[in-house]
Amino acid sequence: MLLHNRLKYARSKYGQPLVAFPLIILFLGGIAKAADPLDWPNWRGPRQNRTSPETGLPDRWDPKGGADSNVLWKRDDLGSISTPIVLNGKLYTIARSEPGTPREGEKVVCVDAATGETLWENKFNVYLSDVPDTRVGWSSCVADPITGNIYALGVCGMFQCLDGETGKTLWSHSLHEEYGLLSTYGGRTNVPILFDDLVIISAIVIGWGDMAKPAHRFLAFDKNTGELVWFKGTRLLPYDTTYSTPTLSVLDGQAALVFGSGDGAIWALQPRTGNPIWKYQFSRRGLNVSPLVAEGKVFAAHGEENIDDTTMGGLVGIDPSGAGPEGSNGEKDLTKTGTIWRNKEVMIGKSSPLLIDGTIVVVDDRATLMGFDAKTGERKFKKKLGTVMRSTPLYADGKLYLCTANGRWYTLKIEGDKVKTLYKMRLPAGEGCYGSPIVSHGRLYVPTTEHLYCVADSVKTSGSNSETPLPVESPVDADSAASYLQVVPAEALIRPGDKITFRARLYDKKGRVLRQVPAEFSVQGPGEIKSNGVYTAAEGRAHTASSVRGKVGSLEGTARVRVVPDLPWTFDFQDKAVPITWVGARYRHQPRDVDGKRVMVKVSTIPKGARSRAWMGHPDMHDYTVEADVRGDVQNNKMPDIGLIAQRYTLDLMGAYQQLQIRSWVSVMRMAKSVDFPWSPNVWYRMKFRAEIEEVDGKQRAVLRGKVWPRDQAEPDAWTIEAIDESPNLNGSPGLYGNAKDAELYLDNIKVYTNQ
Amino acid sequence: MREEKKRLWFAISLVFTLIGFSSAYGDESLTADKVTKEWAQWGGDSRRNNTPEGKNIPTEWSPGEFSGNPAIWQPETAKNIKWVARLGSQTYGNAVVAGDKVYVGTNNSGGWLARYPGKVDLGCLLAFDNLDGSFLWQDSSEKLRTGRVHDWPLQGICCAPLVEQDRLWFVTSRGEVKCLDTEGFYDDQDDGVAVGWGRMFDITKKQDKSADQVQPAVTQLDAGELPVVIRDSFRKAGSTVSEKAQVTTKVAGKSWFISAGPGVKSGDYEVRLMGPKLSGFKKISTEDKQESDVVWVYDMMKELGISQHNMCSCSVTSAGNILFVNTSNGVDESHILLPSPDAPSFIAMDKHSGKVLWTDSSPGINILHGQWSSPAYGVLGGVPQVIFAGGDGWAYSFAPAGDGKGNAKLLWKFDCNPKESKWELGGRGTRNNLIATPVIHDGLVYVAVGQDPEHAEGNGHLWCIDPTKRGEVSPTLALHVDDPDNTIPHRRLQAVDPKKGEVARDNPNSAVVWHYDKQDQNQDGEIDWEEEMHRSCGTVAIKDDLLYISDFSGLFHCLDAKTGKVHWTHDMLAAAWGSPLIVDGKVYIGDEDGDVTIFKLSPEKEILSVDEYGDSGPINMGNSVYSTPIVADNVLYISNKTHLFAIAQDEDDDKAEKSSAADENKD
Repeated sequence: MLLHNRLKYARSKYGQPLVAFPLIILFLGGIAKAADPLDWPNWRGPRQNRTSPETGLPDRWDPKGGADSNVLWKRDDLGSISTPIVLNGKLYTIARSEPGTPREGEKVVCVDAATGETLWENKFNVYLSDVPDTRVGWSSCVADPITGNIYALGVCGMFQCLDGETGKTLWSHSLHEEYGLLSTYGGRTNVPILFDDLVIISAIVIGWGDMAKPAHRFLAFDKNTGELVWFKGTRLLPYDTTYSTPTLSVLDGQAALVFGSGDGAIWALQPRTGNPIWKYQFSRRGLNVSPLVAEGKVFAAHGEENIDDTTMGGLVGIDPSGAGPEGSNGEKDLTKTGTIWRNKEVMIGKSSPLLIDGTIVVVDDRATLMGFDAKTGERKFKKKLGTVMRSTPLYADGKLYLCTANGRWYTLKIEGDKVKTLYKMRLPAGEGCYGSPIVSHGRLYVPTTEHLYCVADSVKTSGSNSETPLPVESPVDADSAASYLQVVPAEALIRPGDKITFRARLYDKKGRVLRQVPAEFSVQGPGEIKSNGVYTAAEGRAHTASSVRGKVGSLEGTARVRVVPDLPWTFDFQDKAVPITWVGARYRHQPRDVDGKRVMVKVSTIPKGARSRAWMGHPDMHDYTVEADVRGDVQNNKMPDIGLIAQRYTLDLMGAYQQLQIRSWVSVMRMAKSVDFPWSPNVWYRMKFRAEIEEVDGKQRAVLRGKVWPRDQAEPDAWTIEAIDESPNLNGSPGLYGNAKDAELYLDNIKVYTNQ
Repeated sequence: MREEKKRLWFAISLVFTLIGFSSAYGDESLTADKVTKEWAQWGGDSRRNNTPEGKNIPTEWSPGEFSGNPAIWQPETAKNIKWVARLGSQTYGNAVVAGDKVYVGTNNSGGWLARYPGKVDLGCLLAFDNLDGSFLWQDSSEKLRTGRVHDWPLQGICCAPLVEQDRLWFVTSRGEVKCLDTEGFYDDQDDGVAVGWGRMFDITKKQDKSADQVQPAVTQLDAGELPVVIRDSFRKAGSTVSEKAQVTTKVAGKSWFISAGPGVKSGDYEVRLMGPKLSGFKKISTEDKQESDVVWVYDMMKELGISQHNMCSCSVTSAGNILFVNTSNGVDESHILLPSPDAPSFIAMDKHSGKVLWTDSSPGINILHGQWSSPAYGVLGGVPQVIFAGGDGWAYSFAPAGDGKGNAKLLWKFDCNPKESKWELGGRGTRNNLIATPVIHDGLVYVAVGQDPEHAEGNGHLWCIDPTKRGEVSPTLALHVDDPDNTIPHRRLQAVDPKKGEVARDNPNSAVVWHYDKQDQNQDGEIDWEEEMHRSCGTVAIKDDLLYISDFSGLFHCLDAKTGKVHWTHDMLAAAWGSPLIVDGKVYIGDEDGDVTIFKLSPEKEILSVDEYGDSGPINMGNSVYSTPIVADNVLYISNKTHLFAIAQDEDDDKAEKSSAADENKD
């Protein structure tokens, strides 16, 4: 064995403890900026490895609080499954807002990290989602040390950039309405990651046009403006949603976004372009654990089916530097060539791996702690800690801090092949950890389902050790050739006559920015583009999609534009197509002749898509009415559910229940109303759903009114159902909801118009 | 060899026939030397108390190692393992031993059939030869196209079948009740419904026309030619299409029939284009020994309108000719809406014909999540009773024959949740389902509450119920203070809301014998976590007045079955999905870490098993043991997710023991 290999995982030698002065950290991409190394700006910590250089941290703490408890403060209103972060003396987290009330939603909270006192809250609604309230806050905030801004993904897909000082929303995207993010009962939502001027987020996306089929896709936004820079995904039709937070690292001198994908593979993408570097097919199911990147190697784990036999669970060390055949997306396929070692039948599907002194330390889904030699994969220790593990341990001050999902807390010390318990206790009954403990400036923060605790040992003096520098991306040199052209924005949704300026950027093979260049622009589809990249959408009433192409030499890049007019709209499907601009609609719906007329059918044969939502236009729309002719089939005595969406509310004509319902958040029903409404299969009805904002006593509220009547009869004067929301959705795209699992449903003559 | 087995089988069948089914349970298979020969349904018999008689059941074994791909068991690395059978990648169905076969529900990752490679997701019921664990046949359930809301990926068949003579009954992952011939097609007879078409392959259309194989094949088929890709695909799936085969178009561009051709004995095929897939089918015949022989199948989704939540599973039982099934009816993906509130939860069928005799939909709109419990049957207080545990958290007892008009005849019902407890979406609440199977022992009924393991841990209750009471026998009744004479109809989320002036009052007709949720064992005035019962889907096992039950929080409890007094609890530091086995003076329990812990059958806690470090502790099986250990004919069967292990003293060991005993005698 070569000497440098042997040294690769040698025990790190700590230098003298340093006082906690800000250090100059070299950021990936070569941007230098003074950041406080003892801040904890993302849930995995400044080095994305769940380890901290801090010293003088407590062993013990008592959740009851009081003298000698080491609990500095605790908040019983900030229990959450989210992991907090700390920047500039402020702690940020995501939590349920006003739980159990008709106003229930989600919020980003900022508290003083030293005192726990709330500085601000940014509350937002959860809408058009199946997620249960107890899974609110699945994601975690990310802080930008350069701007101080905070990025947060809400559990239904509301993605925001907030001013870290004031909590004011600087920009936001409703990712399911605009792009087709899938929000499910499971609640799995990913965590944003910052790189250069980008903030990158991913989800299973069922979009429009060539993205109408599901894939695990990444959206990279300009972190300052919210403009979409690139939008790319992994294999089509992945098995699962996923929440594997990507690790940003430098591998072989190249910046790489390394993550576990919904398609069961570990992927590395170029963070500036989204172009694939390599993949490693690891499981048949989606991956949720965050890969650990250390010393040029990638360590990843899963708790699902392996690809090559009947076993489940895996832990792998991957060397991404080797060769591999080219995969279907142009990536290097390391599945057969990249394995350093692989252990099966280790069920590590939730908690992410750590590297401690040459040992990969993991806690499996059953809360068994295990250590494996990072070089060989040989198991060094195993210790049962409890029954269920969801969060990831923290390693700091030579101690491993962790808490199981059912509230067993451990402070452990790893000594070679032995694990010593320094302290263990049980949280009060019913309290457990889904979020992970963090440390910042001598204070541990422990998020539990019931509390947020701040823990510090006032007797000990806190400090920190020095750390080895992280690898740096190799700089662009004079002869770096251009190999990729990116057209920005990658996608836009505008109105007829609107203008939008496209730019072209050149990148070299390693995904490094070379320069912004003038390009030869052209457009496929309606609209015009000038040589300076200014695209002007065609006037008129049509709902259209165009592809913008930029060309520089032999390189070509594309972007997509949807042009959706202001109201009124009419859709009668006579052109035999599901409108291309609709998000989440194609494949799940088909045009078909029914009763001698062309209509749109929601088919019952699309796996996982027979019950779904679709969106037709701009999320900023408000105070409008949606109407449609609807008909339900019947199969085995079962009828479908047919819904119209207006301003983030659903009017649902329910087949099994024979009811009419207005709701916004199906699993919480905070403002929902239902009325009995017997209706028959194979009969055409007209549905009408109106959303409007009213002001009462200076407070805004949404008033929702719906009616349904047999199509061949006159419209009744009275509304069939009304609902009022005191925590109103002020805007939202018109859309459709349908549940065709049991029987197909038909839609025709859809009209959307401003309230009359 | 086969002749011998057939003769043995005939003898066993004869014994069954002679005994008849006057008693649906009992010790039919108990031999003169008091050894239980069969474990022919979940729990061993319809009372579900897993306490077979056996001798010299090992307390020490090593499952051995697997190597290669697919993994091959290395017998020389194992100890006290008679044989190992490959299962899928996830196994929740319990092994059942009857006649000369062992049956297990699992998924298809094991890839036993050539036409269904391991990557095809299926629910599989496998039959193995009990002599050596060799594979005999497989019943295959393709995944429902509606997806995970009804049929969760890779979970396979989750129930244990019921076997009587040459018939087997089980519930499929497609929401069906199926009756199979245990002999499959090895008896060269097709015993039931018309032979079906077996899917052999799917070829998916490709966007890239140059790489697409579907469209050219369709053109060829329409022209009456057999495309090479079709012939090759049939061959890969284990069936060679005759050279003389003739293609006939049924519907142009859609479906084609491939006849064997003149002078060829068997083998009829079809090719069908459905959506983007071109699929090949073969007519299954008695020549296809590895296929199951279906006697009848009853589609509960279609016939009864049930909508199971994530999985349809029930380990059925019987009384005489009546088969009892919990339909699994539950909520949809929203976890709030119940697509079929009026569909039955409990049904009784004629086990020979599959005809439904009566149905009951009592849990109705109060179903909390899904319904995955299995019924128990026994004669209690002189009255035959079938006991169902509902997804509303109530236990129900019915007269097995129903009311004669297609409806159930209720004997008693018992709410297993405190009235004030609350159901919360996602699993945080204090209100629970019933997933465990009720157990009948010594005239009493035992059942514990629990939730979907995904919902994590929570508080639990274990009840001992007197089944001789009638009507509403819950511990308390829900009343309003202003109207104390009338009970409030049951409500799904919370039966009694104290904020609305509602109260739970003791029920004068309560059937509670005892209730265990917590007990201050160390008498320190505080309830420690180790002194609580938690959520469980485990079923109790009772012998010599000692009751054992595991919970999801990893505690294993030992109680006095008559009084409910807790003798001890043991923290396994791992969730248990399965239930204990009591045999030969020992208690076996498996857990999610793949550990099997063996205790002495005693009111004092004593661990008999020894772990890998030589300490008193569990034996690790390599991966999770979700199943319940069972014993039949002195062989211990334990399945982990991927393999079924038949565990018995190695013969070499017997010799070694014998010789060492001889040595001792000499001394």
